[in-house]
Amino acid sequence: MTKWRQTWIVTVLSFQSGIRAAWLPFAAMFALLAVQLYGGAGDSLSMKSLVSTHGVWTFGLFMTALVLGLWAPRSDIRNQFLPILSAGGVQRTTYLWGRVLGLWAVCAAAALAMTPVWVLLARRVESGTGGYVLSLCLEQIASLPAIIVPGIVLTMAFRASGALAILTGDLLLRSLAPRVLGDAWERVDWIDWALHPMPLQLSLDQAFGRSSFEAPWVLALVAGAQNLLWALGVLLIGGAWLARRDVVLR
Amino acid sequence: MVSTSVLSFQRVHKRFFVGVRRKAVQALDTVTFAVPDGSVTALLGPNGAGKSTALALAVGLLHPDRGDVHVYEAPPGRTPVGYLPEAFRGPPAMTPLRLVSWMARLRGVTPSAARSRAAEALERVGLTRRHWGRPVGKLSRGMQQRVGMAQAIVGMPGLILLDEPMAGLSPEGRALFHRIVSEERARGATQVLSTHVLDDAQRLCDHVVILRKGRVKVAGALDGLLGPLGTVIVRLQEFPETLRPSLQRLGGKAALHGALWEVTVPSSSRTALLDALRAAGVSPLQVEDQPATLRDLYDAHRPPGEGAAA
Repeated sequence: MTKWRQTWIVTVLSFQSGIRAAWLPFAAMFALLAVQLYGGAGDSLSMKSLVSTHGVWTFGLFMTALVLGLWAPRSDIRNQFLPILSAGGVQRTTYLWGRVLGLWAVCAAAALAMTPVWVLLARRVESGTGGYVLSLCLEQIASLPAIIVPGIVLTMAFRASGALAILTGDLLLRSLAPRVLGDAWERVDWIDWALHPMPLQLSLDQAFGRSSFEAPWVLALVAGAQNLLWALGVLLIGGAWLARRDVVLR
Repeated sequence: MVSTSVLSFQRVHKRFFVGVRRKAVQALDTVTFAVPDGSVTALLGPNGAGKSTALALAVGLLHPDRGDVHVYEAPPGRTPVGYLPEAFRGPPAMTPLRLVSWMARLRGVTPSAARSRAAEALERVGLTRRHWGRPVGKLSRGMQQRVGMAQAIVGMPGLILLDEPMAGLSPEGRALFHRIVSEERARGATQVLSTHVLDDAQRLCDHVVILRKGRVKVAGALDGLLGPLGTVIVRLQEFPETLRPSLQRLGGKAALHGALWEVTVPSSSRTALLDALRAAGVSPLQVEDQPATLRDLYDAHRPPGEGAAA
């Protein structure tokens, strides 16, 4: 059996188990947001309120992704799913790819399902915000591996969640900054740097000038691409390292 | 027929570092043995002997520090094998039918045939249809073990590794597992069975590897290993004391039991003893051959003071 087929099988298994594990928190989040947003149907929304609510949703989504990423390999080791997959010829890196893709698909499906809601709500704020909100959704989906991958790799590697503190800090910053700072958060450079401290952004900044980041689609794409690259880097390095070491059983 | 080995360990070393102080534990030390094609090999030893580590190396979950492990003359992980881990639980939310179907697909069964193969495997381990759709996590310990066995045998793997398969099973479950191991042997599968239960191993296995503290104490075909350990008991009306030096040379002993003398020697000294008795003009009343059991072999390699196996 080819690695592609093995990856596909692990992805599907991961998706199925992820849906079973995550449907309850996602349903709770949908319900909460529905109550919060449709409670004042007909009233106009302020941009600040929309962005804050979106921050709460993002926090919930990313926390779910993080918990899934941290929980999945621990669970697979504890209930001996990983050993039987290995016996089935699935290599460690194939398992990682499948697990990441499966969990990504779970969270991305939730994010996609929520996107129309955001667009509808954005229309109640002011014209022209639809694109901005869509860019937030896109960034969410692109950023998910940045949460899931380190969770999986580091959990498998250390069994303790060394990444938890870093990722939680990042999540808090991403989700709570709009709430705490209100409209000003977009104009504070240090938050932007703290959120996306990657060389790609620096290069773009130098090549195209600061204005390139003011377009929300560009911001979303750049941030998403950066996070994706970071996640893939962790996956490749972590996966290669895991493949050579006995980090699963001991 | 030339017997080739399906699984081989060549001077394998494996060390773990445990605890906060990273204390080194030598799990396997210069382990060498081979599992012949079509055999059922018992992997025996006390807790911590290295049995599960050896199986994890064979599956490819662990890598040796030194030495080579080969499965079908290739590194582990290249060829799918059947594997029942110790105290199998399985993904709790997945149903037995789905789990076993996916394992069949990983072993190359087509998607259309996977479901029927899985159903067949679940029926073989005694799981009825009402269990197939229930999440594995909701099944009893014994039922989970059966699901573990079903996923290990589905897709007809050539090599099946079973780590403590009888643990937590009822007598009926054990009988069922005995039958499955026998059926798989008849199919031609090679099986490695790690167990503490010597009676199970004696009934099911034709080869044995005994590990102690990570080292191989003995390995080989059971018949060849047990043969020399057998004894012969010769019952006599009277025992001439002139025979005692000869008896000591043969490694035997004589004792009075009731009205009769019982002279016991190793099977290898059977002919020599009977010759000596004939020369002394003593006629045996009864000659009884007592073949050795796996327990005798195990005890022969057990350090004094260590508890007996089950």
